[in-house]
Amino acid sequence: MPPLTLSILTTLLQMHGAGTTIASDNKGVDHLLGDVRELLADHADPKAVVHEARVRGHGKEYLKSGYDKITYSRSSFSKATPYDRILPPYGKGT
Amino acid sequence: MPREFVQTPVDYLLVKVAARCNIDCSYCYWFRDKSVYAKPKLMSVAVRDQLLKRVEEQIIRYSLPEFSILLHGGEPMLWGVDNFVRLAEECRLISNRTGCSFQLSVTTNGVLIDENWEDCFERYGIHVTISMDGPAYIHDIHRHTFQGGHTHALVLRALRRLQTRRISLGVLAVCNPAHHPREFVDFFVGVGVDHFDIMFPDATFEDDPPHVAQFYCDLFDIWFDANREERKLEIRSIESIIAGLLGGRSKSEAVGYSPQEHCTILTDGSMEPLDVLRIAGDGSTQTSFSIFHNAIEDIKGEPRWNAVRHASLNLSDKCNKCQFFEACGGGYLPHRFSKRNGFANPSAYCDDLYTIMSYMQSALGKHVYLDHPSRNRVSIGDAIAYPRA
Repeated sequence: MPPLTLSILTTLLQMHGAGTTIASDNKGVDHLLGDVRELLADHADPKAVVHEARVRGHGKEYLKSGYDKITYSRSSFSKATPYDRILPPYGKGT
Repeated sequence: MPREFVQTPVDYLLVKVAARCNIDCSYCYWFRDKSVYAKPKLMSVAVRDQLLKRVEEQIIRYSLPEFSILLHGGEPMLWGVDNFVRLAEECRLISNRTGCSFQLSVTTNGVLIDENWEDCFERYGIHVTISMDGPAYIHDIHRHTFQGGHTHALVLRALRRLQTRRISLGVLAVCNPAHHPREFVDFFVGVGVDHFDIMFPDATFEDDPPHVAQFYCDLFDIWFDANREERKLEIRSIESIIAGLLGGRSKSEAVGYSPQEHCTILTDGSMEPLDVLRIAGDGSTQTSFSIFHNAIEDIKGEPRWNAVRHASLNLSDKCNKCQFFEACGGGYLPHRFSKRNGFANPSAYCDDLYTIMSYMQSALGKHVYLDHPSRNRVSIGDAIAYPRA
């Protein structure tokens, strides 16, 4: 298996038809695929704009699951909390 | 060709509230740059107040919904619990005024933790990261007092105390490849820590970094076995590499192609890029910017900060041609430094990273598949090798 990209995965899913998902028999890997599945959904949405950890789509903004500034920093580690919450959009100046 | 990353307003600061430490870890990157001794030992009230003023200004200017502050050092707890309380209280007031929520965090050696500190962390929801290198016989090799004494017992005591409170807690270790990763994992699981990270030792091309490939391949095997039937062991570096190999996002700035955009505030209010870049030598992170003269967002106009960001996204020829470009991203930026080329290198751990990722990729190919309700599942490897007509 070569390293996967969203483009490769999108193509594979399209080729295998509607209803095809990506999964793993290892629960740890399958959990990590949750983020990939979200990204695939965003990738398929032409209106979604990815701002690193933030995704804007359908008039709302989300901070991506499992990604927050504190855990991302190598100098810190805290268990990531679920982050699929709707955030107010950035205001002026952005 | 570097990918475009949309810049968002600065909403995260690494704040050095102490420039000194109370222990003497032999691998510490911070004191490799002797210019830190020219900085005030502790952040003053004036600097703290100016910082909060700048933070609120940033929040209002960009209508930020959230702001993260990592309190760091040296040893940040040398700043004193009263200062932590005052800062947290002021953040609450800013939050009340602006509607912005704060995420406060501290990375500490844990030696000074007592009940007062626990009360503070719990009351203000401060995430605590403890630095701990596994069992005592590994931890005490590098993490000792200035008199050469051991620190493990104190750190373990702090860990156990924190676990009895409602405090968000994480553990960071540094890899010691002379020991099998099972020794780290068994120890952490044994003391009730099921989510931690084991980081590469900080090293550049001017050092002689250890070979860590076998350590991380073994660590992956341990993680994989532990998580077969249920997710019960989280090791950030392993999960970050897996995420990258699967087309997802790294949970760590240490791997994965992405920009390095840290803004560090020092004890005197000066503004710098990522603090770990100090392993490149004296004054390697120094700028002329300060919170007394500059708004936080101004850091994006600072040449050294921009050079760091540029370096993080413009990788070496070797990296650009590598199949693991996305998953690896050239590894951790500080590990790319050489006096000859600056940061225009692959990682000093390049060979190790390639070996680790090859190993993990091979394993994942057998356990990741495409699943359709009305057809047999197909492994990703087969799906790519034998595309459906």
